Amino acid sequence: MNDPLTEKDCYRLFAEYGTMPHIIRHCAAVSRASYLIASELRAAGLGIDPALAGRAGLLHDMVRTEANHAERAAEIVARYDAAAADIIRVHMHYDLAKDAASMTETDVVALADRSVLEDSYVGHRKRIEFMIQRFSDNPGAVNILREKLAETSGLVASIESLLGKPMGEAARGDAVDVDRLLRRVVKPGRYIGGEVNSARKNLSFVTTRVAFCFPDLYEIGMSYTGLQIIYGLLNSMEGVCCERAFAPAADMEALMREEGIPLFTLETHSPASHADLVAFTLQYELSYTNILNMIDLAGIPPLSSGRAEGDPFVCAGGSCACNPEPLADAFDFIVIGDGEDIFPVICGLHSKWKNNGGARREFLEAIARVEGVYVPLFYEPIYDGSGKYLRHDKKLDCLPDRIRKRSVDDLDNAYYPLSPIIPVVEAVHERAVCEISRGCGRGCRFCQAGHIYRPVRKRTPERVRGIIDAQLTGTGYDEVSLLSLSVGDYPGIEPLVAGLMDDLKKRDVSLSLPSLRLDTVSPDMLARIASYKKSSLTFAPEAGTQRLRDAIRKNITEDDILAGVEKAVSIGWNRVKLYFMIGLPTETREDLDGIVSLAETIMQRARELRGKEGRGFGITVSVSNFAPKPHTPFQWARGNDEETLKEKMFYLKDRLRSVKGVNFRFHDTRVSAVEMMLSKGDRRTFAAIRRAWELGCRFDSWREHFKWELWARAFEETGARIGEDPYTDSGAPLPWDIVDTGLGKDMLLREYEKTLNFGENNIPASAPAAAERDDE
Amino acid sequence: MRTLITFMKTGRAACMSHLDLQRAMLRGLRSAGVRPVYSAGFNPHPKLSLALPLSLGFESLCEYLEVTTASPFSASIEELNRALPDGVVVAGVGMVAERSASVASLVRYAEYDIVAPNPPCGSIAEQIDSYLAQERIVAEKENRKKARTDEIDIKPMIKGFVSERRVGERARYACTLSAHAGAVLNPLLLMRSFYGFCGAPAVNDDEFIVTRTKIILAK
Ligand code: SF4
Repeated sequence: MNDPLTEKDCYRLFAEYGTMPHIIRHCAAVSRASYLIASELRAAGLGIDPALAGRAGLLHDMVRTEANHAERAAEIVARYDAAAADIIRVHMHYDLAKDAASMTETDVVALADRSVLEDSYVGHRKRIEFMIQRFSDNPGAVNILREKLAETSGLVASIESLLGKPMGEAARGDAVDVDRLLRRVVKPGRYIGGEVNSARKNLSFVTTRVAFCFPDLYEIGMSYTGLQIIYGLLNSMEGVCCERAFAPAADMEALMREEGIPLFTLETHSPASHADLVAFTLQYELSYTNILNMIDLAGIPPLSSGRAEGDPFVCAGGSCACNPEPLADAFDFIVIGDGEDIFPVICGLHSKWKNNGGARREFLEAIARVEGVYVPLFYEPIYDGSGKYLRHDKKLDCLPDRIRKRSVDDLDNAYYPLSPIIPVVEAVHERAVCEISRGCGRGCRFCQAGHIYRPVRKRTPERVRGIIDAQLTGTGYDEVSLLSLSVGDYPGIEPLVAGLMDDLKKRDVSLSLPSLRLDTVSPDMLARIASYKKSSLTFAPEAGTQRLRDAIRKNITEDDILAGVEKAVSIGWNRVKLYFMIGLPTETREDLDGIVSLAETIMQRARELRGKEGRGFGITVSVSNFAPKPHTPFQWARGNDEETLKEKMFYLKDRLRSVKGVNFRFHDTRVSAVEMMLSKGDRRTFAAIRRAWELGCRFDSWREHFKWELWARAFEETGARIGEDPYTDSGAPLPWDIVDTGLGKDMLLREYEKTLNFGENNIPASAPAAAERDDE
Repeated sequence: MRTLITFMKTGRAACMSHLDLQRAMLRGLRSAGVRPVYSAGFNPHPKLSLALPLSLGFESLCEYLEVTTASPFSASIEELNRALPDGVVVAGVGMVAERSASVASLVRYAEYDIVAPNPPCGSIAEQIDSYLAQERIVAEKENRKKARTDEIDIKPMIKGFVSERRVGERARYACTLSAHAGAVLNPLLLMRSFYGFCGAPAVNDDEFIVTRTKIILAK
């Protein structure tokens, strides 16, 4: 017995037999309608196979231009699929004078065929009346058609009473009609789905449907490894399916709103609100308005408190969830920490709850007890009369006081996608990606990732190689990237990279090491990397003087940097990128000048080394604005206000202009000012985010879309002001204390005090040694 | 070694751009175990060429991709199809004689099937006849570089143009248009020019449903 024909097999047959395009479109429409009607009938208790009806529907007219086309098509199909062939053979001359309860797949296909005009489902009446008009000069034909119409109407009435809904609704399934929008937007490929390795789960076996929503464009979201991990993991589970939705670009959003098309998933093009769980990832604060916009486009009530039975559960996870408060009102639950262990638990609880037909609140109460799940409705923030935050009061005694972060212990055995989805529209990164470690033990005091992803966990080199090998086979990518907060800190990175490079070269695959710190690299390794032009060399001194680098605990010295540059230059590299931050605690003018003099020193050293030809060498100085982040030692720090940052940027820009060979890049200071408000926000910040969204803010992380005036107005109208920071008192409670990352607050405070003690005149005898690294 | 792949680009895959399609093809081939030869030079690129670019939004029943490999082409049609996005369907794989010209240089004409709303009133066939009987057939071509539209005579580029039939508010047309290098006529240009000639109500480009049905190669 052959495997049933796949969709691709069917299209091959079309190609082989020269089926005309409009006929293929007609066949696809009949197939869709057959499948959906059969599914409805099956759900109503009939022993009907929707997939068989769908296959027969797809091929029924494959040779329509030939004489006896039904017989001829049946002959061809019979070689592969006897059951489908039987249906096709009789589809033209079939008697539908019967009752819904006795229907077979053949009846379904015949009915669907009588209800589809060209390539759209119009219902049997319209379709047959169209034929009657067409044959109006042939009374014999008209009579037969009228009989058919009466007979089919009888059947349809019987089906409608069996299903309890109009036929049109049954045949549409829940897909929205996006095709007519696709021709009218830029990069329509963003919205088509159907990628290699995307999931095609049979929904009839699914209890828990998840819509994974990425609050940015397709090409951004598809480059995010976390999406591929959760997507692959959920789709590997029985009874669960995960689909994707991305933020539509402005042109698509406008059309969707105009045409009343809700946010849809790429896998089935059905409304995201039909999922059981609508899950957002919180990667950067500036995507928050997109989240509200997507919830709105989905037609889901905006507030958790306003959702009723039958509404999906809207949830979130990701690095920004470590301060869940700013968007807490929008989410029914928020997952804190790694998702690999916890999502299967949540889906399991959901399936059980759904099968038992429980009330909404019962599910929330069940998951609120799972470690790492925060149900904001059950925790109420309390403020004093002056509006000062005091604490969270929990509404149920059985719940923990704080939400403990979830963490995967064993990365080797954690799920990792071997066949990631390959984007159909060019994404930011298109490459096989292997996360070699999670977490970073360096403890730079400003760094949130370095604090919330502890402890450091690694994948073994064997597992890394296995993942890369499988991904390359499954995707055909010609580039591999190793993912880690600090690739160079991976124990045994050199042999790993050396071995990989040899293997990959044989496969015409290049390797990129995106977060490689130059100071961690040996000359030997650098030489190897140099043979691949794709990797860029970066240094992140973050601060211009040794004093400030020590104060923020960035363990990198000027000698390290110069030695690295020397290595790079000697191998023939002609560009190095340096990352700095301005506005760090204890920063002075001297520290800014330090950035300039470091750039000068590097350029001078390069010129010395390269002699006359040294002219081709250049550095990029990329400067971002420090924004204090929750759960770091600098969580109490006040970020610089916008004017100060701007003044510093202009100062640097001005001074760096005179240094030849330097390319200066800087971040928008206004964007940073808003980011600060959001990252240290509390539950009241939601009002401002919502107002900003109402005023039209979207895609705030895109310079061309960011609207400062609207944000300023949004904060003002909701009783706040950009630049304000109520959380700088190290003795007072913080709203994000509700999350327990496992790091003691006293430890963070001690670290912060160390920084403050590094004030200008307080230069330490020695820089913190590497031994002080806390690999806890 | 050169191999010619015949494939269709149907359904929503019509929304993939020329570049997206090239990338998907490269990956599909690699994933099916085919390793194209890379060109020499500072920025090596795989030797992979599509015979005739297809406009974004058009479907096609007949596309050609020529790929050069160092070892004999090993992948089966099934393996290739598994490694390609939905709607991009390989129908055939064949060797190309070593010294023959590239498939792109052999392209002469392309045939299109077009479904369009608001057809001109009256007999479409008669109007096509008088449209084609003009001494010059003027069409407006957008010149992006110079940010203006040029008037060109497309008459020499139309090899065939007929109306198939009328379906309610829509009509179907078939045309055979020049497609060799330097003289490629986009069917939308023809349709706009024809609609203008008949005085039919204007139709947006996105309302024409275009399918390329054939690429005609020189013998
Ligand atoms: S090295 Fe420092 S900045 Fe980089 S990830 Fe680790 S802690 Fe964060």
